[in-house]
Amino acid sequence: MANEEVFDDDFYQEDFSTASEFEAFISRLGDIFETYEVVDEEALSSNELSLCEWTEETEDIMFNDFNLSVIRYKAKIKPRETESSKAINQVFQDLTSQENDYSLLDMNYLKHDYEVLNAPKSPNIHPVAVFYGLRDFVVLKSKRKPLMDISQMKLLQSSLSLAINESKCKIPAFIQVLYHEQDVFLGIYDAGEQRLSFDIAHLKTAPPSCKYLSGLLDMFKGKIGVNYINPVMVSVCLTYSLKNFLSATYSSDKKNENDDWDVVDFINVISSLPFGVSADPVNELILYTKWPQVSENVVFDSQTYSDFNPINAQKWSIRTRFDYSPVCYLADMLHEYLTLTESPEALSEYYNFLSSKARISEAQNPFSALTDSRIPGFSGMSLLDGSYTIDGPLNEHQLGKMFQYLLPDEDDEKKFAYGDLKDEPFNPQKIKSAIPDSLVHRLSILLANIYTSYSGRRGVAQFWAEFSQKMRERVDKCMRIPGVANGFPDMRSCLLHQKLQMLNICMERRNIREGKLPFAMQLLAQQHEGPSSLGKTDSDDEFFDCDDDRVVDEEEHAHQSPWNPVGRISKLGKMLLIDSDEPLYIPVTQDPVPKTEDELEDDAEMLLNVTDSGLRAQLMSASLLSDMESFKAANPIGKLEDFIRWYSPRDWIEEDTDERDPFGRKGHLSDRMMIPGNTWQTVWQTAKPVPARRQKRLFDDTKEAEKVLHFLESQTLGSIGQLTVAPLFHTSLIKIQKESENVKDFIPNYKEMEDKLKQNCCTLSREKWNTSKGMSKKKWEMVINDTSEMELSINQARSILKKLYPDKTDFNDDDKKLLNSLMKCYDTELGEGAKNDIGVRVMYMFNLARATQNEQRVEDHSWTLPDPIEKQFTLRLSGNTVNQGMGGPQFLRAILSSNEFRLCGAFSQNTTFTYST
Amino acid sequence: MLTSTIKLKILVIGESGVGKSSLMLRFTDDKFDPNEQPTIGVDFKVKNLEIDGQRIYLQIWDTAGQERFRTLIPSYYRDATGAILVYDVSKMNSFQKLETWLEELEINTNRNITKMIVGNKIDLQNMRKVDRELGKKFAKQQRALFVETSAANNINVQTAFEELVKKILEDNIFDDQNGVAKSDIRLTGMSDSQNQQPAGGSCTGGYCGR
Ligand SMILES: Nc1nc2c(ncn2[C@@H]2O[C@H](COP(=O)(O)OP(=O)(O)O)[C@@H](O)[C@H]2O)c(=O)[nH]1
Ligand SMILES: [Mg+2]
Repeated sequence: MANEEVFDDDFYQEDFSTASEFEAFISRLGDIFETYEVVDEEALSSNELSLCEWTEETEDIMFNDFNLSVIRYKAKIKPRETESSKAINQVFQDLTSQENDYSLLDMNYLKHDYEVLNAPKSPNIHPVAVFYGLRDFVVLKSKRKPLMDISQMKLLQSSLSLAINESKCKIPAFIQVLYHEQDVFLGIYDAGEQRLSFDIAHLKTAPPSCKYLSGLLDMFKGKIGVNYINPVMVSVCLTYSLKNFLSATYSSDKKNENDDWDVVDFINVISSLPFGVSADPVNELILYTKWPQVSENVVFDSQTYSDFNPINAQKWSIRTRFDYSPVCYLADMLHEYLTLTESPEALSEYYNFLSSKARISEAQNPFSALTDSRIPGFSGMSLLDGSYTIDGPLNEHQLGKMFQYLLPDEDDEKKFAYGDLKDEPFNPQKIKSAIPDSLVHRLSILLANIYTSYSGRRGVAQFWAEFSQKMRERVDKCMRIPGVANGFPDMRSCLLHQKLQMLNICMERRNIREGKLPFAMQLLAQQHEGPSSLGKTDSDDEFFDCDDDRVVDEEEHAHQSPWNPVGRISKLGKMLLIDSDEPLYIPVTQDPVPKTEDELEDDAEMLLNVTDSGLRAQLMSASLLSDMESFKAANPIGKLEDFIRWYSPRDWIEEDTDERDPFGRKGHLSDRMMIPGNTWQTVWQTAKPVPARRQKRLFDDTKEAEKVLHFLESQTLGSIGQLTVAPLFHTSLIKIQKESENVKDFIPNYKEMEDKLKQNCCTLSREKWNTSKGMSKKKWEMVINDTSEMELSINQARSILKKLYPDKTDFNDDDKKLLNSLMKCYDTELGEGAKNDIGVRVMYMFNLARATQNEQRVEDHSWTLPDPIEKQFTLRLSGNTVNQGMGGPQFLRAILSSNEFRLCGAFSQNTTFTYST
Repeated sequence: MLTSTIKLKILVIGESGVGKSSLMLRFTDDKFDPNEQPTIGVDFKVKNLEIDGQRIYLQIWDTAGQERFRTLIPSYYRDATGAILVYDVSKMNSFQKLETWLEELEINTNRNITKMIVGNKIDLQNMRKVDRELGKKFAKQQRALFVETSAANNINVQTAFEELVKKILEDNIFDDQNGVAKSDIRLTGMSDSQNQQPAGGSCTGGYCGR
């Protein structure tokens, strides 16, 4: 209670100077009104109020024991491009404009749709704007309990009136009364000589006299009491709803379910992503038939006869209503697949033979390949003797089919052979995944289908185990893995793809080491064809790789004499060795060491842990030593200077004399190279003339291959998911792009949606997976919203097409405009009313629905519409009166629907409209 | 302002002999050693600094420019938030080669990294081959910062590194927990709060299981 007392004290203190609470209220209200600035604007265009944004300004105020909000609503009208005449009085103009009539016919629909449509900002258009077409007004609304008491209303109304008078408020002011959900408002607008009063009646059913135009006209005129010269202008709209679309109901192909397992089509199902919706996303078509402006004396409408036959209406328009609840199959799958990423089970928990191998390549010194050439012997491992079994929910037939798709070269038919894997040109927006329809993409699709539609985790475990064993077999048999980009691990592709690239490189190096043809040449030999880009590897020109420790005989001899050169590629231009006339030869060197990004990270980490920079240089100098040894082997009498001339020409300063040596022999090393004891010199001193093929291998392909295989086998189910999320989203994006081909022209903001999806995938695919608090998973989930939005839009568009253009495939600009508008749920006008092609189609659908309901056939003649779901009559008068000069605008709108009746009046006289509740 | 130290990885790349190692040495140890040995492969130096009250831990990766090392080096480009591309104002060729270096950078880095182009050795005035304007224009094309320096005479070296760091701080969002850059770019079309605290609360603001 103490709190309340304090509050009251404050309240009285503040208003101590004013005479009473009542006066204080009026003065405060007046103060608020005085802050409202009003700028006259141009006439509204059709639908503008429902499409524009609205601003709200709220002040709080107390009235008796009511806590009131004073809210000013103002439409943000875009300035016109062309100057047009401004209104003399904006309120009068808005009220008399028939452009405002039907923009907001079904406020309830609009409210609903905007919430889900993600309009830039929910317009939340106020009912007062709906009823009267006003763009700028203020509403007093009780914050909690509704204003029910008539005397309270009257008191508030007169206070309002006084405040308006005092403050010269330039916009209409309303009080919301009765229950809030009834949307009943009383309003006043003071325009100097004219005083408008707004009044609303809200009933469950319409009194008989208000059901037809004739009765409404009588009431309207009776209310005004003054005679105008002009006749009453009437605007009418009848609304019809179609919900039963029969054969035009849109449905997607059924999502893959368990019972699809053994159908013939299995391979097609398992190799594609689902796409579609579980129910028709268009659940209602609304038809408006309108007479925008007719004079009271040319139409008649009563219980017994009506001129308002919808078939003859001047204007027809339609709008769609969407159902946002259907499941979107693709988005749903992605959503489900993300749950896999959190699964902690290791593959070995399902298949324990895999764990025995896990010990092989324990944490290794990442530089071991550089510093230590001893290869742990793997020969003892008998993994490939077929002694393992991989049991699981997938049967042999199913697995066979899946691998036909994934490793098509193992299949006789080669039905799913990989195409030419061409990478797109440099694109900064590239998703870090793999080339479309390459192995990694196919693998992600298979895993997603297995996980979400067939056999869950067990299936994933079984398939991955099978996959990793296939990889092992292929490495053993030296069979190139298909569907993987050539060359070194590409850091712009995902880790899984890099690992597979690595396997191919390892096999390639082994091939060459064993004197076999490189893959590209094998392929050519098979095909007897000209050069093909297919198998061209980056290292094509470098396949004179080092041999292993077995030494070829004649080389053995050659090596006996230190002065016999070995391992030359070619002369280096015209260069001659210093102090000699021997040419300078470029030596055969060891190939660069390929690495995957995780290995590189380890290397960098390791380098960072070495504090001594000399030691770091030593770590780095393994490849320098190798190159120096190769150089010495190729140029037995070569010096460090010669090596530098080839290797780091900038550190060779040629003498700038007139008689330059054409063979580049005159000059000296740069200062920095000459520092005694620098690493270059010391390494040079230790380097022996050994050709690359006899050197320690910098890259141990056997060990590296084993590392990759172990990587594959030691995954957890969660990390399998993580490795494939980006490729899966990438394939989804491609899927969406393909599915949208025929409809994207009609989808509002399609391009923006696609770009956003692409960019978000691109960003997330480059982030490291973060499991803490499910961070990465949550981010990807946000991306699913984009996917789902696009999937739904595409299906909405298809559904509309099916309903309105059942046989059409190409669309002219008018069609596109219409479809675009319907996609936005706008009230969309059909030219020529009922005669319009779409109008005829809509009529047909209405009649088909009714005929079907009555178990009849549709007759060609006598098409009619069902009863309207809503009728609206708007009556207006303005201009000169018969004997009282210029009259203010008079306005009455009646809205009749099956469960509601509403009268909205605005009269230019100080009369009170009677209403009852 | 983050309370934790921000960790940044910066690359220094360019042709051999343009003065990459010298610039780095000048910046980290404020000395110029004409007898610095040519870099082999990659090396790095670290430096702690404070910019506008923000503590920053800089890890600067120096690279060798020789062709032969090139295959190895790009691996160290990963995760870099900034790159300094150096040329020698007395060697036109070293300037012309920048294009290749930029390409390599684009291919091997993940994020849109902040770039700075540095024309070094301006103390060799009468040997200048690359106009200041030329360098500036190129940098503008590449949307990179630009500065001319001399590692030998200590001109602009400090500024160069500091400007780059400032720009990096502008270009990235940092995580208060560990001071590493959070993500390349904000997810488009998602509000800041969603980006900043995707883990907070029960509502992911995301997909609601339609
Ligand atoms: N005159 C001059 N010489 C420089 C400057 N910076 C580096 N140098 C010299 O240029 C040569 C190459 O420098 P270095 O830092 O090793 O170049 P890097 O190969 O790019 O790392 C060395 O002899 C340095 O002394 C400079 O600003 N002015
Ligand atoms: Mg260097």
